[in-house]
Amino acid sequence: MTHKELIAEMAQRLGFTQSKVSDLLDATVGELNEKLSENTQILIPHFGVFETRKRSERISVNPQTQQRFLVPPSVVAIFKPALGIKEQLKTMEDDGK
Amino acid sequence: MENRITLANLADLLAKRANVSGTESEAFLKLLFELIKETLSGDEAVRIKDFGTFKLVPIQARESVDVNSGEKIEIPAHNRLSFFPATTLKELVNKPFSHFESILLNEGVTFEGVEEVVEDEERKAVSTEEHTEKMEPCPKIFRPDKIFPDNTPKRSRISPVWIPIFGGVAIAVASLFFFFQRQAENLPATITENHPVRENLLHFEAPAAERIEEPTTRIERIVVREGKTLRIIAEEKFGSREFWVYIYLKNRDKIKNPNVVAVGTELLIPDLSEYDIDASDSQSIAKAKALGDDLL
Repeated sequence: MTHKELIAEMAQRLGFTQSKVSDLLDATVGELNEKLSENTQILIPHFGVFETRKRSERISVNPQTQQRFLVPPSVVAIFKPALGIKEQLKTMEDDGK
Repeated sequence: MENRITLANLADLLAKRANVSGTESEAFLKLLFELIKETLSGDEAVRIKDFGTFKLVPIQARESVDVNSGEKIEIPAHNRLSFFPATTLKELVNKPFSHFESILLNEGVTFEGVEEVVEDEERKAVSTEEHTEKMEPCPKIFRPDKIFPDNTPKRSRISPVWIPIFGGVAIAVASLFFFFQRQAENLPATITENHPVRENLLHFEAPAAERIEEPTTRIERIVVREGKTLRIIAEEKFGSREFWVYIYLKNRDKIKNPNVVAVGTELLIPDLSEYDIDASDSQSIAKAKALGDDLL
């Protein structure tokens, strides 16, 4: 589902106009991004947690060329799905089989 | 905790930001995450612009060893919900470290306490891309106000939809490159002149100066990019950060303060033999370090 489809679906369900949903979604993303860039954890019940984590520097070796790279430390945004949703999606495939 | 917010806080913030009522913003957020969940249950990915993509990644059954008992166990095939942050978000959170770049290490250079990882299959794609990124001739500048409007996941598993987007990014990158080249051409043509200080140093540093052939033919030039320092350039070019001092000496007319080099400055990279630069020779490094400490 793309950004547009998401907006269309939400507009339909909420009874909002698409432009309103689009604005709200932009604001949400802006807010989430801002909070994440301040290293704030965002807890969404029954969905999961957005947070940032620091990856320390490491040397990575390309096994083909044996070239060694010093990869600098970085901060990455991560999402940890809530347990419930994780289990639900995990078993989904099994049901289908 | 101050560094933690919940859905309710988020709803408040959103209400303020988007100028809607609290109930509306909360209903919106609830539906948003509900819908993402629903869509994922249908095994479909959800992409949110400037934020990221949620998708299910199938994990194949594999054998593993129980860490406690040491027995072999099988982890059955399952799906894992993964979130791939969009470039915008990635750059935003990584802002404090955005000036770092991957550095190709020379043989024999080791770092204490840094983990050494042999890339596995999955990571290889990423590292090759890092590599090509490094070789791009253009300055990759991070500008919060002008972020690429689309989220391009840095993975090689790309759906065909991404191809035109990559194309667009490539064009943008190329035009930036030409823009900087033009700028570089507009710089005064004094760059090939040898600075007197360097001449003196030649005799002081390298007694074998007369052996050096016409340096202008072999001199390499680079344009300083955002986030680069003399040390980083020295590391890349010569294999040790201590050799920054020679780049400084070579470009003394353009650098007032060796700690601060303006972006866009064109630097001459001295030839290895010119200053006796040899990263595998600890004496050579020590000499550069002493000289650098003197100058600072």
